[in-house]
Amino acid sequence: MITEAQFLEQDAKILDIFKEEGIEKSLAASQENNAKAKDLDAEDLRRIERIVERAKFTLVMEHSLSFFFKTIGAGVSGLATAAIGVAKNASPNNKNKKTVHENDNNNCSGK
Amino acid sequence: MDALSDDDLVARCKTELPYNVTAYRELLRRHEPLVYRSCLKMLGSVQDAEEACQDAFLQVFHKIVEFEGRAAFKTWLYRIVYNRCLEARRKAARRNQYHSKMVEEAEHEELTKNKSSDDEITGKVHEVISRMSGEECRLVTLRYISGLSIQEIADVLDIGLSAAKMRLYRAQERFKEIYNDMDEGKEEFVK
Repeated sequence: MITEAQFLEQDAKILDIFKEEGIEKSLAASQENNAKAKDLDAEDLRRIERIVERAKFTLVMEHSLSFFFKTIGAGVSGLATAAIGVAKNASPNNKNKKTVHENDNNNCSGK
Repeated sequence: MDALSDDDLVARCKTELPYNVTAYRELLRRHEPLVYRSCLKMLGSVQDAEEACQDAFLQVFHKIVEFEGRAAFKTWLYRIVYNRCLEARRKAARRNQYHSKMVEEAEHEELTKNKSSDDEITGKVHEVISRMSGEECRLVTLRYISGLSIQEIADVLDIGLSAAKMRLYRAQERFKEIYNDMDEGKEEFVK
């Protein structure tokens, strides 16, 4: 079992090694919690802009796909309804039924 | 924008995204460079690091509305980053499993090239990190490159504080061991 003191001592020593090797800049930035824009180089800015562009692109894609599927969905649904309607009207049973109804009507009229 | 805290920026993102990206861009400017460097150390490849970093920030873009603010934004962000890096590692492992030797050699060449081009961490520390196993490498990166506190690391890994300390201590031991092995001729930094 390690003690708090042992852990902190080791932690500090490794931190020193990292600082000696030249990463104090990034550590300081993270500790400050606000890596200000002035510290950013051209490469950082390029990556940031790429992320923003990609975020916008995914959003546009999502909206476009959503619109596309909604439109297609409505179209397919309309076509299906129309096709069912046509099929029903065109079926021979329907014609027979109509004839029967017509006969019924004729009978009911008492003529 | 500089005067605003992360919490203020998150609040603005929640109301302004996706149509206005000003606050989001400021969050990126504050955190992206360090996140990218952390990904680079965890994954060892520029391409994988850029992809993981982009994916993490895209997830932030789409999910920031769901962020409840129970943890700090930084902790939430690094949890996403950590998971993305784990996923990228798994992908890379699968890729390596099936690729031919020539592809592996090409990747090794790329890695060597990246190492020499990376000016943030030079020399031995970089070499030590690249020799550490996945979990140890990620812990050391979160602590000494991302600059997270032990509590923040515990939150990112979703474990208790003492468990995080123990894992980090083991990673430190491993770091020390590799560092000393590489530096046998010089004075050891830790007895």
